[in-house]
Amino acid sequence: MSSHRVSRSRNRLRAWTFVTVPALAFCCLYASGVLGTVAPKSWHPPEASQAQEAKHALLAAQAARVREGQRAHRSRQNKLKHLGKAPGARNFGVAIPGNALPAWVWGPSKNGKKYEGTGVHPQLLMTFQSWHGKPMPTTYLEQDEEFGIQAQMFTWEPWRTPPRDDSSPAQQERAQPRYSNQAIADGKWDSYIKEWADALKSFPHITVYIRFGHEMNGDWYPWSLDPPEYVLAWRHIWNIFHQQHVTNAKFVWSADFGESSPDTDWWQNMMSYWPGKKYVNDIGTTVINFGGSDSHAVDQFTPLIDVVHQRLKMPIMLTEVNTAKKGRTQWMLDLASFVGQTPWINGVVLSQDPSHGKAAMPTVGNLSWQVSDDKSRRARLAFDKLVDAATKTFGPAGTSDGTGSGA
Amino acid sequence: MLAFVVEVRAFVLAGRVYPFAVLMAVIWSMWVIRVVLARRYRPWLRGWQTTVSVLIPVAGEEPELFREVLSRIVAQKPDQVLVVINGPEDPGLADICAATAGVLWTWIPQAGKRNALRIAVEQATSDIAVIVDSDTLWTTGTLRELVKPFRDPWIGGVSTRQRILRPQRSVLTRWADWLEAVRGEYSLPAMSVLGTVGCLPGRTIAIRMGILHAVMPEFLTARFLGIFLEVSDDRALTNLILKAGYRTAYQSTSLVYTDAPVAVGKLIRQQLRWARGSQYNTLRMLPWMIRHTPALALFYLADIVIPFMLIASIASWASSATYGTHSALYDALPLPTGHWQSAASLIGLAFVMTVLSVSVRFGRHFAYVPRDLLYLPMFTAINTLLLMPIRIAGFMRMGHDSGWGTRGAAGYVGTRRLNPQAIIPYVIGVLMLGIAVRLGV
Repeated sequence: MSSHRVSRSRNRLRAWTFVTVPALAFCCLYASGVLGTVAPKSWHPPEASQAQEAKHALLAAQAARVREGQRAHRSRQNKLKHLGKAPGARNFGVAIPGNALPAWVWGPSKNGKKYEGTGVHPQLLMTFQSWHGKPMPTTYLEQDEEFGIQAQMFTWEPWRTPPRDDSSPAQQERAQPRYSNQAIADGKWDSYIKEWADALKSFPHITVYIRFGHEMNGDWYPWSLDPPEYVLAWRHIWNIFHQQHVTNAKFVWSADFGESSPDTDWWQNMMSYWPGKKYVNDIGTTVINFGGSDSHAVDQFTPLIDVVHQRLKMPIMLTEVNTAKKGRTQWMLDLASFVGQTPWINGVVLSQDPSHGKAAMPTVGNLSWQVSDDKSRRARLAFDKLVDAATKTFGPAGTSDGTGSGA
Repeated sequence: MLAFVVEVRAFVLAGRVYPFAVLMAVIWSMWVIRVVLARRYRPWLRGWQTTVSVLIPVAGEEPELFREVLSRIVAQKPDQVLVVINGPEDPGLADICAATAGVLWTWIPQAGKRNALRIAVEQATSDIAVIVDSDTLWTTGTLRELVKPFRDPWIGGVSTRQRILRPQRSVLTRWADWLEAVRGEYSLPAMSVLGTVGCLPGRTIAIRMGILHAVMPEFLTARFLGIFLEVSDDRALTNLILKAGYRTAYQSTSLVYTDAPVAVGKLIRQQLRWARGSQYNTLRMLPWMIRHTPALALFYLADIVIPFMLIASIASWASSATYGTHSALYDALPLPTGHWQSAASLIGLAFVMTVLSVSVRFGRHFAYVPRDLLYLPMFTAINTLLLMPIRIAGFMRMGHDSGWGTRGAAGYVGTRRLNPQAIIPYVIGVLMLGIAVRLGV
């Protein structure tokens, strides 16, 4: 009985399969285009369809590229966000050519070679900003946001940068009346300064260090020509920022303490540019060992830094630090040792930007070496030590020498 | 099916991989494996004499149905019929047992099928135990056919072909009958050919009494993922038979009928219970299956993975709807020109191909009930919208202890304890969902 049922079932299933399987196979072949000739020609004009297919393939590829781009952009954004570090009581900053922080941290590619990168996440980025052409800070601040940087220093230079090939110190110092201290103090630049103030206000989460007219006590920049006017210009800018209620800007009075002995002339000359404590949040100095004919060991700088700190009773920021390639390891180790033992140094900013000074002094060493592609292990270790020292925090004892925090 | 074909074409021509195409490829590959195996299946034909005890745990069953169930069983003259009424006292059921000649019955206040089974096994004296659900109706020759495979001494357990009573009642019963038919025509014969039916369906299972005695302690206590799962006893029992070194078989000539839920709520609860129990046991048996029955591991893993792949496909469709890249696939089809003609023929072709592909894939059902093809849209809707989410939910909730036979105050304990291991399936499930969506988009 049951075997009869089974055999009858099989016939029915066979018939069913005989109809459905070929029908499905036909549909599949038709849909896949293998049986293209079965359809009337008008249904499937070969040229048009090929063109269409090509167009669709192109569209699909474009859409895929856009999506891939968006995805890559998102992941890049996410990665970039962690390039910076939150600022603390003592900060390490860097000025990098082209502000190329990702390559500096992760490793640059040069001449087809990939370097290791510093792996150091700075708290601060510094950049040199001439007033010529009235550039705005917005691009840098937006980049800071992208990188997760919360402290930005602008070395704000009221001049038109002279061409590098003919810039002996004397030529460099030549007056540029349009940008003179007097012009600033007279209010000729007010609208530009206000625009800056407004721009900074729209990035309230970024602390902006204004390093206006740096190394003013030297004789190689036009803003050094007239100390009283320099002070007036400084105060004028400060007043505009104050009136505009800019709360995230800090004024860094950054001189060049130098490397000679601390005599009276040196002090008087420097202090003729001093706008007064009210107008200054931080004091800075340049510390550059040019090498060659202008080599300076770290301990040539430190006595002067110490004197300024003792007399003005404020912390000191090393706002532009660099050394010639030759001897860099020892120099950085010496500086690290000094900074690591000196709690009132509240910041170290390494400048890897091309130096004006170097262009004016043909007999000095190589200042254009980049720590991010330095192949010397020892130099890398010395650099890491410097960064560690610069960001090392001290207990309350470290600040108990009466200086407090001037910032 | 049309989507599958055009996506495969896009893969061949442009190398683009579509999640739906992968899903369909998996489904069709599994189908081919099953069909190839099932074609080799033959039921056992030669008769076999043995002694049989029929064990029926029962709780809260509809009296009329139960009377019919009992009378049909007794009519096939097993050596013993043992009924264990468990849970709250039920005079109606007790009266039916008392009134049916040849039925031994007991009542135990403790609810739970597994414990009731233990009581029945203690009283059983035959060589073969046939465990029957209290709502399962036997047909002529169910018992005679069911014991035939035991002629082979290495066969430890046998199950029947099952169908739904009067499937014409509603869409849900038709759907349930279709699922049972598919199982009885493809999965069970294929697994039976390998000697490893992974789950002897619990409506009626025949087991060698010796095995039952040996595995009873583990059957009553075994824990996994920190819990003892009361439900899915049939799958658990099958696992134990297989682990004891015996084979399990499917006897297509032994037919039983059973009821199916006609209310959606009840169907959801039943399917969720099955989804949990089945996937729980898959994970539990996975190391053993991979070592001893890789084909079974493949079948059951596919069951777990397919719902997640469907999610990937849906995510991919949603994404291409957003970016508008998908419709271009269909433009290469040779269809009549003109806006409406082209749209209508596209829909028509898609419809025809879907019906044909289902007709081929489930031919062993639709050849005999072609009318069910009319219900195909609803079957698809139930599968996609109801069953797939339930499978995923069941996977995630695998580690939660919950009752099933707990109809009275008396029930097995352990249902309200915090189980830290319950998090494991959630973690795996969420990971798989994440991967699915990621692959899709």
